[in-house]
Amino acid sequence: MQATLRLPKESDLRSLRGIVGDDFDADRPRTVRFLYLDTFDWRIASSGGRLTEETTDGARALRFIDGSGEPPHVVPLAVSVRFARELPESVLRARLESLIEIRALLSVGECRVERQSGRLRSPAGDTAVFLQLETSTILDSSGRATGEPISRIEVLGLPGFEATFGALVQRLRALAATSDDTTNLMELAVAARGRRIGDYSSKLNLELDSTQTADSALRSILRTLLGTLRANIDGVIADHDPEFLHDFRVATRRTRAALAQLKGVLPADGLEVFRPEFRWLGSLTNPCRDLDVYLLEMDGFRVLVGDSAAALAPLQAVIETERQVALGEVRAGLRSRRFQSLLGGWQAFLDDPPPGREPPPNASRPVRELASQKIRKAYRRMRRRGLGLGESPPLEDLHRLRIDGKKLRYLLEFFRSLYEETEIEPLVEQLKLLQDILGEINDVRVQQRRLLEFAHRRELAGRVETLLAMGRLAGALQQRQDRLRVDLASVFPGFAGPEGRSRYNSLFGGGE
Amino acid sequence: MRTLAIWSIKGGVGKTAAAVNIAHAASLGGTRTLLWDLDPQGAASFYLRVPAQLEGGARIVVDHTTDLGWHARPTEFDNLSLLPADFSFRRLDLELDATKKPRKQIARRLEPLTPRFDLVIMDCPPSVSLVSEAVVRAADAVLVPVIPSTLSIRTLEQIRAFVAEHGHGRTELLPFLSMVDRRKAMHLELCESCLADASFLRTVIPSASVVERMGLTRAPVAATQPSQPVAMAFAALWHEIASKLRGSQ
Ligand SMILES: Nc1ncnc2c1ncn2[C@@H]1O[C@H](COP(=O)(O)OP(=O)(O)O)[C@@H](O)[C@H]1O
Ligand SMILES: [Mg+2]
Repeated sequence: MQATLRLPKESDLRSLRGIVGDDFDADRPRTVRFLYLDTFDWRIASSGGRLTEETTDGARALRFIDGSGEPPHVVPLAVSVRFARELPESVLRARLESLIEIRALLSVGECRVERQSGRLRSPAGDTAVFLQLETSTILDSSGRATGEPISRIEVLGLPGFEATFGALVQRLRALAATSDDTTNLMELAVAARGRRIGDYSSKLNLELDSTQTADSALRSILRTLLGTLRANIDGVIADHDPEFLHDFRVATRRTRAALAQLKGVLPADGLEVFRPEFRWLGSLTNPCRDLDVYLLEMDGFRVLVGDSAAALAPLQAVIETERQVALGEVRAGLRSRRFQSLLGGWQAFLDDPPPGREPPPNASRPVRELASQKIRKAYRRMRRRGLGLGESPPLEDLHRLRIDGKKLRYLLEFFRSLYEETEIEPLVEQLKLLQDILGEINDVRVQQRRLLEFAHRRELAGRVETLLAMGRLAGALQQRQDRLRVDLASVFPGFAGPEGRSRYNSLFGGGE
Repeated sequence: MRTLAIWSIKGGVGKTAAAVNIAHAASLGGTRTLLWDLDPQGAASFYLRVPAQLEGGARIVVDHTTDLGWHARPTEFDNLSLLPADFSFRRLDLELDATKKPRKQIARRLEPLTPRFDLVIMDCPPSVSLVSEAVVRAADAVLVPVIPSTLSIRTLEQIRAFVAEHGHGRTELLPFLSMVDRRKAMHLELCESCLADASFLRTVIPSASVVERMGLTRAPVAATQPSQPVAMAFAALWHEIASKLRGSQ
């Protein structure tokens, strides 16, 4: 039983005493500073939950409400936390770890709240109803108050005290100027920071229209990707978590894939200048991402080598130092004039492409026709390569297969909104499974190679325990790779076999 | 999730006082805690201002079609929920006895609470019964208050035997000194000999009038008198227990 009512401006519990009753037991009023926390991609809000860091009288606590009606979980904190893993072992940590994974918690909004809370007791002295009156002032990013303070009272009735709860809510509703309240304070606080809940997702959510021309569809795809690029710049530079760089790179790669695979849609001569620039963006961020992946794998590596886990610390230190350098290069790149003019030029090109000598051949084709043709082609290429692989193909060949798969996957993701969801989603899922295996095989390959490089480092010279642990790690990686090959062999036939083939053919046409 | 039973063959030794204050100390630290009041008298429920009534009564303990967690009620304290007692718990033995594996019932009922709670504390009636066997079976540790008296110390040996017989093999027995009056020479003497036993928790809970007054304040001591030595003693006791529970994981 719960009700939230908006109150006249200057309300406080004392003035409500007549309504609430004398057997009301009030806590002393408190001022609470409220930081709304979420990941950049709103994983907490989109799960229906809410996480706040609350500071009152100098004491800091994290409060999580999961939206299911469970009471909040409150964890006192000595310092702010940025990652779920920094929390003490608890139900909350487990929940957050599965929800936000490796993403950082960012402060997405701020409020100052005057809070008065208390409870109504039954004649027998049991707790019947909780009350909380809050007057909230929303603060902008420089900590200044914005808008009028909002006063509301929240009433929570406990099981068995329905009558007490009902009567109290009725008396409150009868007050002048109260109304049921649905204000979402978090929304307001987020808006005061210039954002909107759900305004970013790492998923590509495109709504294309089958009657669109290829030209307009491709430009809207590329504009969305440019939006993703821009959205992640600050986070990459601030280095909140590795996902910013990851999303930035995915958007870069998707852009490059779109340009490479959908030729003849945009004017070719205008486009030429951008291709090398996006390639540069890829290579600018490669080293940092590789090292990120390595660091993310480190926990798993420690498990793999068991007893020698501690011996990996010097390796970790080498990687961290190197990553810092690589990140410095990324930052410099993103602040460079070259990058700025890429962003500006690309935006201008997409908004208003220069007229070419003659209209590109595919520009005015219906987008679905072009999409189906490209998907067909990409599927066939990947299928043929996969079927042509022998018993235990060299890693180089698997790498090529993965690249084919990537191209196909990007096409499916760009154009999924043009097809019946129930038909295309299983194909996306199937390919994702396949790509996860291929991607992991590739990660292992890269890690093995890097491991060998690291082993030659001067910093690790003479560190026998570390080098031995790295040797064990190399062995474990090899075993993982062998297992992945087995997985691949079991998944690939579903994709390339007669059933997979007929699914692609029926959805994208062309049964030859 | 860890489970802690507070039990003794003797009544009036401070089980409920410990259950309520330790549960509160745990919840203050961010541990999501469920206090299960298994005593039909419902003293723990009373202290936390929750009516000692349970829809479904004792049957809910054995009725696997429902989730025990549905009956958990919020208290006035963050992170602290209570599973209230019910007068019908005086027949809990019979309910358990009517099941196939009576001694495993409570453990099985607690299992599904894992994603919701970090800690379950069971406040038990002072009986030797099927209920206590099932509770001990479900517990990671059994906390036993011991008043410094020769009789209490003798009872502890019986308890030790009981836990060895009915525990799940790794059940820890954690005795602690309760209601100690430092003005009594005999208390001090017996405390010393108890603490010579390494299995005793190091924290000693003094006899204090604020604990007795919990019947009037109906709140854990730390909620009304946080600076009282006994409030700090309960907090210290919880920290000691927490590190034992972590160690046994
Ligand atoms: N540390 C203490 N100091 C003083 N009185 C106590 C203390 N612990 C318990 N008491 C009192 O002793 C009586 C029995 O305690 P209780 O916790 O109900 O024991 P049990 O649950 O073992 O029967 C109660 O009246 C309680 O107020
Ligand atoms: Mg008791």
